[in-house]
Amino acid sequence: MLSLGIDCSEFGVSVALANDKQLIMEQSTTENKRASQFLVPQIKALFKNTPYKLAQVESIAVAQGPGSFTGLKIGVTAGKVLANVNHAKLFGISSLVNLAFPLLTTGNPVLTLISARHQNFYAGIYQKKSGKIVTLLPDSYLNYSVLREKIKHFNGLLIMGAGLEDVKTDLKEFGIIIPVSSGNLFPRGYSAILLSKGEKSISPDQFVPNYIRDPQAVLAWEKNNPEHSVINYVEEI
Amino acid sequence: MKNNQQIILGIESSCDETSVGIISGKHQLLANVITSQIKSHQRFGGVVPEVASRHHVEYINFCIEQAMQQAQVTYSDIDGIAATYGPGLAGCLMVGLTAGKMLAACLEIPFYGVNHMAGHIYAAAVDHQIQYPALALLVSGGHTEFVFLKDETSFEILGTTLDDAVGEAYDKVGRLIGFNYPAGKAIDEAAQRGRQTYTLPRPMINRSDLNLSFSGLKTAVRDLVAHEKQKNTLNVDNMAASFQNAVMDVLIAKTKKALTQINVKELIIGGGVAANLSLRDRMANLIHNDFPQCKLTIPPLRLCGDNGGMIAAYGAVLAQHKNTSQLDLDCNSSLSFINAAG
Repeated sequence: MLSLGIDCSEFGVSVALANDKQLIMEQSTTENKRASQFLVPQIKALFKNTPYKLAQVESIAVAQGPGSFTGLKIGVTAGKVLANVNHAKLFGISSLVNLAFPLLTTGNPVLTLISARHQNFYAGIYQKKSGKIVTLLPDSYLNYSVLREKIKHFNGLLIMGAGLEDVKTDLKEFGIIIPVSSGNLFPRGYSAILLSKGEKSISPDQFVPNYIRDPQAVLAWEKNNPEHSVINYVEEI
Repeated sequence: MKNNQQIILGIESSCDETSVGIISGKHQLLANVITSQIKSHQRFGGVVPEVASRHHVEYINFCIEQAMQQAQVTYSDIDGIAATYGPGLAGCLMVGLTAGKMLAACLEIPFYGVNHMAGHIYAAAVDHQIQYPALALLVSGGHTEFVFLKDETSFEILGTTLDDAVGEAYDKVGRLIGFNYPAGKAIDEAAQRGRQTYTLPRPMINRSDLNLSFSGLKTAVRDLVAHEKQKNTLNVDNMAASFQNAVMDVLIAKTKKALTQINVKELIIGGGVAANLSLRDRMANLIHNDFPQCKLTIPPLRLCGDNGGMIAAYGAVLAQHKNTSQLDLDCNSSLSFINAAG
């Protein structure tokens, strides 16, 4: 099965093409983050010098979030549009699990973090046990003060993430911090494909990013309108 | 429903409508599916960009599928994809642009990045052949400008608003007199009921250039409303009529000036405010009385607001000129035509 993997959730753009689990081609950049500009040409470039065509892709795995709101929307949009044209199976992968993926072979619990500013983080903890990835802290949006309470009882914690400068000194007490992009440690399109194997596919029409966090305007409105009823906010005219 | 005409699918997502249109040739609109987010943004009194872009992701596939169904075409019938790449809200533009580029890459057909404002002008090309040279007055929530079209691919700005767009002025005044966002239609309706009883300025009406300004007018309304409210004498319908008359006087005077200065065969009114009934009436009178040799084209109401059909319509022009875009085209939230006025 020809599979496409996409991760442009936070750290750059990584796309991969694989046949079952066999990697055919992968292209990643951690430098240029303009996914709106480069994601599609980067996907197209995967097929150069291969006998395959984009129209043959049967399975698509997209890092669905959490992460940069903009990056997530671009990756998810590309995935859902392509899945629709190709009648391909579509899979949403946690971008925090995808970030943790290369460290999971160690067998240690892995904490992955993406800064959401003001000492708030998207965070998750995973560990590979008997060949299976177990979630020890589900993907959450937490203030650092809450997060540190949740992680203090883990032993041998490996920590990888972005935007950790403010909390680095304190965080060191809980485990070893490994910088993103050291060696080949970054969220890859290929690992998104591997993580999608055996998962349940999603209908392209229903596929949206897992932002975890609502926009500020919505939070404020809901606070002021606690009794609001849920209606269809978008309608065909 | 494939005939020998090229078929272009157009995607629009620059603000708060996700829309996909499909056009055959340059004039025959086969489908135009529009989803509106107005109800969502009414919660906040205006468009919240992050909320808008999330809705675009939710509805993009729905719009593409519905449009193809309406047009009775399949992916293999489509010859090119057009998508708005600016101006507009960056996070919103990216969704439609990415969808468009992805479709073009997968179907291995050309991609055309479309300037949203060119789309508003080419809404007039649906079921109609524009005569050149032409003048377009674009009036929307984000833009107010006079554009000269020497031919179908050259756009030259002759004048523009120096501050608020006319649609923006409507929304701000609407808020002052108690209308929900978007206030354009409500003010237009109230104005039909009311009379011009309040005295308001006509900013820049006597200046010889084609630039416009609406923020002073809005401020004048604000002061007047405050004053009237204090006395408990505010008549909302009359205030709406007085404001709308001031806006229309300026737009008509400037259009008259433009048509006197330059010789064009056609005047096109485009953008969301082109749905305003008073504007449509008064422009028709101006052309009938003063410029009978000039044809007036105002798109039907459905094509005045943001829609994918107009993007497909200009995409069809770009396709005819083989003016394709590369797949690394990025969105440009402040994209503009060349400004001849400097």
